[in-house]
Amino acid sequence: MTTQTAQRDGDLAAEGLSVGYRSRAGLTQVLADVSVRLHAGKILGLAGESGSGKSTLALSLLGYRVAGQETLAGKVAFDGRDLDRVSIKELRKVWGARLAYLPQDTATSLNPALTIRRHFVEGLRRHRGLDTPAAVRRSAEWLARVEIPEPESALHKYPHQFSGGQQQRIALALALSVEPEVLILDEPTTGLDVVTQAHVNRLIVALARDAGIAALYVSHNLALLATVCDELAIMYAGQIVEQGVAAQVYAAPRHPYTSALIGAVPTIASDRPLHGIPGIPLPSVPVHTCGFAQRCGFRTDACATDIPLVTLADERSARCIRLDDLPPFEVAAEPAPAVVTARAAPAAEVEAILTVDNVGVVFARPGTGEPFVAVDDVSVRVPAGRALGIAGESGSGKSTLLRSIAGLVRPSSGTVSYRGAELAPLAGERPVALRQAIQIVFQNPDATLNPRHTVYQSLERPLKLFRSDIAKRDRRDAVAAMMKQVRLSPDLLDRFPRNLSGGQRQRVAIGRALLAEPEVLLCDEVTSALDVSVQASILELLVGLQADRELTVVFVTHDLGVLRAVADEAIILQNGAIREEGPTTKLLRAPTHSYTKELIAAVPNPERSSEFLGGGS
Amino acid sequence: MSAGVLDNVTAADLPLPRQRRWRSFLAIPQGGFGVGLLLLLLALVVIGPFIAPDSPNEISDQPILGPSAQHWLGTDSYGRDILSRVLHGGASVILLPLVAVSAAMVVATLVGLLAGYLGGKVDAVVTWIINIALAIPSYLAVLVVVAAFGGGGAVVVTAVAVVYAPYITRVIRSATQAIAPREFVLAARARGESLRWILFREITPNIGPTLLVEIALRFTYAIMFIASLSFLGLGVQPPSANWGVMVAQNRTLLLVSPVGVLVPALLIGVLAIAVNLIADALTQFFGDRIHERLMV
Repeated sequence: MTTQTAQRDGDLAAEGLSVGYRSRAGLTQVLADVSVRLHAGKILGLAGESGSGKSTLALSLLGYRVAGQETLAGKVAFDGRDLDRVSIKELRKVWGARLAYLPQDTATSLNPALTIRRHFVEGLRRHRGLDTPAAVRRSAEWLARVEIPEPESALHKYPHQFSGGQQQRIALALALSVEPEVLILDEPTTGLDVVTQAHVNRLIVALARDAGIAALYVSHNLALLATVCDELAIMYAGQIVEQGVAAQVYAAPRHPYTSALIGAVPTIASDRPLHGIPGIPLPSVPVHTCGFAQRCGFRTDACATDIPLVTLADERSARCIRLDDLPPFEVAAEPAPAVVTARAAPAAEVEAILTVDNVGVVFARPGTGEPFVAVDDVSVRVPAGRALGIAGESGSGKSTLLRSIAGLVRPSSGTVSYRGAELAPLAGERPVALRQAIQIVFQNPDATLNPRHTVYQSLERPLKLFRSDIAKRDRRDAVAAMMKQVRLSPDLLDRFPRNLSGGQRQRVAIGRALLAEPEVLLCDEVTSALDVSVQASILELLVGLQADRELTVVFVTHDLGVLRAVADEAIILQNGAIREEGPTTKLLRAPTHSYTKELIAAVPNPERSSEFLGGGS
Repeated sequence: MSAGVLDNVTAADLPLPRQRRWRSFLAIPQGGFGVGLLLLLLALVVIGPFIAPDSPNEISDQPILGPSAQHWLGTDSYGRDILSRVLHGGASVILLPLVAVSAAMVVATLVGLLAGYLGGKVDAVVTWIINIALAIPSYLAVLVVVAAFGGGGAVVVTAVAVVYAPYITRVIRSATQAIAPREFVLAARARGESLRWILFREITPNIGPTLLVEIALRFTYAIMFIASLSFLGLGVQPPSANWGVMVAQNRTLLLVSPVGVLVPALLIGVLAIAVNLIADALTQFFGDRIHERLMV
């Protein structure tokens, strides 16, 4: 190779890369001065919240450009060339063959109309020059390596005949089968269940290391990255704010944003209270200021300048001017929060506000009409004034159970009772007082508010229906007061949901439920669609409101860390049935059921990285 | 709580004021052009009767005269001034389809919303009726009705409304089905909102764009349909001045005096094109916004 640098074959690097998008509104810079280098056999983790520019960087590293994208400075160096200046014809020879990409959604990587065999053979013939029989043999080998059962017959199937986890494993095999030098992974396991996630991640790490591939792993899940990656880079507002050895960055972050991000991630291991990061990220690259300054607790006037990336010891670098005088980061040093200790009385001694008795829900499968048991004979006792968590993977029936409590799904058998009195199965059949007492908040911030109603219209509705004690002329004040309680500015009242961020919408939805003055608040995965920093502040809000109002909360989640942060008592559901129940801390510390143990083992744990990666599936 | 928590939303995030949205609709080429054409035609139809030199059925001169200074478009086989008939003949061409489509729309929206939201047996029955209705060719259906009840505006309007309603119902039903499982509708159900509130306050505003595009599209079809019926002698009856009727009556003179056919035919075409362009622009206009509006 005629490269002047000491770079070896297969090393892919961004060097001082700045990228912007040009639109009618002008140029928006999304990456500024980003330098990363991928090393053979190593995995670099790239963490950041949505809008931080991490996906743009991932695609730029492939030389992939979308319409309007402009490289403002720097280059992407691969094999002695600047990928930015390579023609699309040349890139097509490199893509797939030497640079492979694994996106989050297999719907974009697998063609539903082609068999798995066609997927493999096409790439292997084109990029590796194999003939079809050899390509087929190679494909079967790779399917076996990603632990697809019966690889030979799997080749003749179509993508939809596999589960989500299997599809992602097939996509991984497909990417690796042509033996690329570089693998870019963009949130490859985000849509999958925890146990499946752990399985796929183990395979990714094992195979990438084994093949000596230089990999970039993009994710918003910091704990996961710290567990599976060698190196870690944290992105914020289009800049790398901290970079270093993964375990070290996670254990002892230097940049305030990294610390805040780690503090926002709920873990199953500690009682450390969650702290959200106030404010919202900058939509583009900061100009002559630290991008994080607005939200940073350590901000000084001196932060209003261009901040360079400072190289520290141990291959660490960080973009902050106060690196020397920041207090060291503390993990789990804080005592258990007061709210938890105050509820020392055992749940069994507290009066049950809701009881679910032998509830079963059976749906007809679409198309075939076969019965499908979503909830299987579940009995739950919800103690008044406590937070009960219901955890499980998708399809465990946890949302259906919650919806049957809310009166949105008619149970096929069993009853739900409120303070000892049986509830009508559907909300519409329940008296006003009971509809008022039980309120529900949903998962999807994009759908929870009517897009054609203003925030005020949405919030006013429960007052009209349930709160005859509030005079019409006082409604606006009551709504404004609630906005403050959920920490939103009353200025937003006349906005439409599309003008709010996901976190703001979710706060409005919580406010809408609370305005009814409920006794019980049902929460269905209310934070799963949000960024960690936003999730933490919503959880913080919920925990605070629950304590202040002595609300009973039933919280459905797939995330055991979130379960730990919110719930006093927990239930683990699998296939519609309860597998284990008990006080959350006890359940997570000393699980007895094998399924609970499996769930806990699947949670990424940076402190036990080798255990996570080595664990069987 | 810190000031940072009370998040700031920039001016760019504010909803567009009505005026600017209207303007950005006109900025779509089809939108501006379509609206321009439609306004021109409407002006012609509204002002026409007042500036027409003669009354439409008055025999004002020799029959079958070519264009001249006195009769700009000549006269027809009865010696009626064609220009005057053109200027009077637009109102029914626009009005009848408008009434037909509006009537179909009202019924279809109600039925479509109910079927889409309630599902189950209601939906099964509605779908069954729609499928049967769609299997009957529309011209045939209308011809049978007209044959049974005689021609004329009222019968044609009713027939067209009945024939179009199933098509529109189907569109509204599927739009409703897309909205009904959304969480804000579930939230309304959990609050115990009335059926009326859920259908008209929660769902209808969100299918507004679909509704509008469908109205515009159906309107185009109805214009052509009713004009064709008039041409066939089943719609507006002679001697009424109507562009469709005029094309039919003057077509025997096509070789002698083509303007009598061409001008009304052209006007029908331009009207249909104008409305179609608007429908097209509406699709684009909402297509751009439907994403953020429904946030799908």
